[in-house]
Amino acid sequence: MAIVETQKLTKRYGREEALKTLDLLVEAGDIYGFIGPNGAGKTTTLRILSTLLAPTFGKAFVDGFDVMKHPYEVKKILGFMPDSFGVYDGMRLVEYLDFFGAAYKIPRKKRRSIIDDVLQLTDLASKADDFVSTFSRGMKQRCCLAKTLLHDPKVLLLDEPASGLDPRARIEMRELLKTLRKMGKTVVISSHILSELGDMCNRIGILEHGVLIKQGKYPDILDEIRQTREIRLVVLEGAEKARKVLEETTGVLNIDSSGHEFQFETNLPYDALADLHQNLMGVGAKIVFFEEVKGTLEDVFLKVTKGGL
Amino acid sequence: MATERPAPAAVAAVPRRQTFAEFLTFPSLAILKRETVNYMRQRKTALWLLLLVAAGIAYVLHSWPEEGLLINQQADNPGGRNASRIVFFGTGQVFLLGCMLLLPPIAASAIASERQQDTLVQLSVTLIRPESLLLAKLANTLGFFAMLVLAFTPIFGTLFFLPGVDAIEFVFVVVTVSATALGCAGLGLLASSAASNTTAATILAYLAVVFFQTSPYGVIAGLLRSGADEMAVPVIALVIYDGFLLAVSLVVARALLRFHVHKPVRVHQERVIDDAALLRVRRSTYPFYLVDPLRRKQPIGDHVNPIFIREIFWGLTRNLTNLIRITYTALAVFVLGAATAATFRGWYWSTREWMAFEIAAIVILIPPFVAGAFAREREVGNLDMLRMTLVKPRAIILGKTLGTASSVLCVCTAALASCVVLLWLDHESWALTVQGLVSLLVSAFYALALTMVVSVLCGKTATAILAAYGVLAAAFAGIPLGLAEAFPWQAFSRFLDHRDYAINVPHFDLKLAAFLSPWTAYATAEKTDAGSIYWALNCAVFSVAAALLLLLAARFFRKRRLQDI
Repeated sequence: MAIVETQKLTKRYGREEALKTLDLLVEAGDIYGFIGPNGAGKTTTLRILSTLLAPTFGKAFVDGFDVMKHPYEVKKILGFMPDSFGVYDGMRLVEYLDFFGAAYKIPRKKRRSIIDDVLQLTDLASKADDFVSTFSRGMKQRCCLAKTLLHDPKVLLLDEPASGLDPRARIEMRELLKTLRKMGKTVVISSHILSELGDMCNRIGILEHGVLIKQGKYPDILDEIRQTREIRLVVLEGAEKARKVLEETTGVLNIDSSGHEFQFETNLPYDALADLHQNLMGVGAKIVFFEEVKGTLEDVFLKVTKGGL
Repeated sequence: MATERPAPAAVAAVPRRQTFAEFLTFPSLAILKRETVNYMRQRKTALWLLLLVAAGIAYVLHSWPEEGLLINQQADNPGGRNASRIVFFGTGQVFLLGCMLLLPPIAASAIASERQQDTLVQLSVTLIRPESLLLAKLANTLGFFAMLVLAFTPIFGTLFFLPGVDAIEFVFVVVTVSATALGCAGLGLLASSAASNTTAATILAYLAVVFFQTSPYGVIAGLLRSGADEMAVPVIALVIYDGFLLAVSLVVARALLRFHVHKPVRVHQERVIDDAALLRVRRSTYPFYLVDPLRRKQPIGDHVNPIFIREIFWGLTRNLTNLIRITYTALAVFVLGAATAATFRGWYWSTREWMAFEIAAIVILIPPFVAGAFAREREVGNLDMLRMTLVKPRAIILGKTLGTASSVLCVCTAALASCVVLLWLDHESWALTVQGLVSLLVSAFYALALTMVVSVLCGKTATAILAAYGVLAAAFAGIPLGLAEAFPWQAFSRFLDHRDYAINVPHFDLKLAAFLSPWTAYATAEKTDAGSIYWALNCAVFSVAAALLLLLAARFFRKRRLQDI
């Protein structure tokens, strides 16, 4: 069941067309990776979905609610973490969260325990009484995420949540998103750090120049993009014999070797690959590794997008 | 042991000491070019020019004598000479006022905005020296002003028809305006170098200009109508004074730029105090705190407007110390003034004049308190998060209004205290005093609502403050005076004449005057028997108008995509 959906979504800024008839589909429970180069229209899409921006044409729905007709209902079930945001001077973290809790109409009696929970979840409990304005970039990101989670939204829209974070903070943010996934949240996440998205997204959408050029389950897109498999072979002995076998096998392409290590592309089915493995062992090659090199989101991204602004 | 490596050719090519020509041009020319191009690209620049040209043409047309100017008879025609002098020196005064109103915010934003956007750091690591940066910013500020002055070319075109003005007088006026412009720009740059953000810089610049420039301006403005012989000494004195002001400002600004590059980061962490005994000790140490900033704040209630609570407890208490200072100052000024007004009634300040002054003071104080309500949220990037919450636009506007009104209320309390003094010293004018107080509250509400609309529409706090002043000036003074000039209203003329204003208008419709602004209503309230009724109606009308303006602000807030990319 689609929880986030757009139909022919179009947004123009003057003559510039930021989004061109975008048809986005995110199902409940998805971790949807929304990727694309700078200026592709990702932030515009997220801002329309979060009721902050009116589309020029087309419709957007969140949990069945039209974002333009029922913004209040959408806000109840949606948490949006913008790419850039400010914090209030002179407010302590717990006061900041209490303010947003009140703004999200969370009853006062429940608010304190909810704040404690989100502080635990975002690992900010020790900073509860510190001024938000003194936080580092990473802590501000977490603070904003804590604010976004306060009203327990069904859908989370996260715009570049890991940008500007150091490696440890990124890893922690990734773990946090995995936790949210386990909690059953639907997360739409836009990011430039593709390797991190590949680990956690089950669906992806690739946007370029305002056009959604690919959308679907990540493994399906990977298969669709890659016509051949890439195999890595490492042998302890019999490297020359192994090379000869590979060169003689039909369907083995682009062999790249370096000493005892080979990498090649193949369109052979699994049973033919098993035969190849047997043949290699048969000629006396002592195999250490015979494995498929998994495709990455970077590969998909580079193959699908054309680049340029 | 390390040996010194020879400098690469590119580095060696950079001269160790700049020549004077390079000091003036390279590399500050880059900044000058960037900023000038940036100004020229903005639509608002064209708008400013258009507005000023229109205002200039309107001024000339208005001042033109009914009988017209006959060029060949002009030299012998006293009426023509007077008309010429009125146009010319009036223009000079407008320029002087323009310097004081326009240059401080422009100069104030020059460096403060760079610091606020963190681009000052990038500039500081280039080869641009602080003095070059300051000179470029100064040139740019003055260039912008010069562009606006050029817009007045149609007025100066009339000089061909102005034989009443001597050439030396023309030179004096140009020198006076130029010196004032330099002084104001210098003070603005100094404020800009000292402040962390454009808002603080703008307020600081205006205060500096009021403190350092209004007195010379008063003297010079008076002398502009006198002969050339009497003008020479004060003009030369002004040139020396403004030159000194500019030099000192630039030297101090340069020193500030050397160590005040980054946005200040608050590093101290004041811990929350839960201990009741400790809080009691602090209460005795800081008796003026309404709410101790270190006391743990209670969670926001379920059925209250969170925006209002935030504005009160975090906005008001955060600025509490400054607010208390402003309140005490206002209290002292208002009470002393009221006492003077009541004591010397009929001689110097009458109750009516004093209350009119208080209304003006409150209206002038409102923009810095209110203009940042939304503009600041937008500037720092908080507005989106606020708009994503379940608080409806109307509630946000209401919360902001109540919160900022609470800040203004502190100053209104000072006005109330002065009214008590007036009533105590002068029992006879109790009706006038009460009317004045009500007018003051209505004026404050009206000004607050107007500023709130401006704040919703503006993207930057400094712009919002400047725009708010423009709107308030138009609403409280521009429209009434403009209409009085444009239409022949006898009573209003009498009212103005009574206060030594030289505006000669033959007729005046009192009913209309009462509805031009809360100020005119109060000022004309006792002119006729029906004056008080008109005044009461005016208060009702402007209160409703202010409420409608707030609804309009809510509508703008909802409809306008405030943070469109």
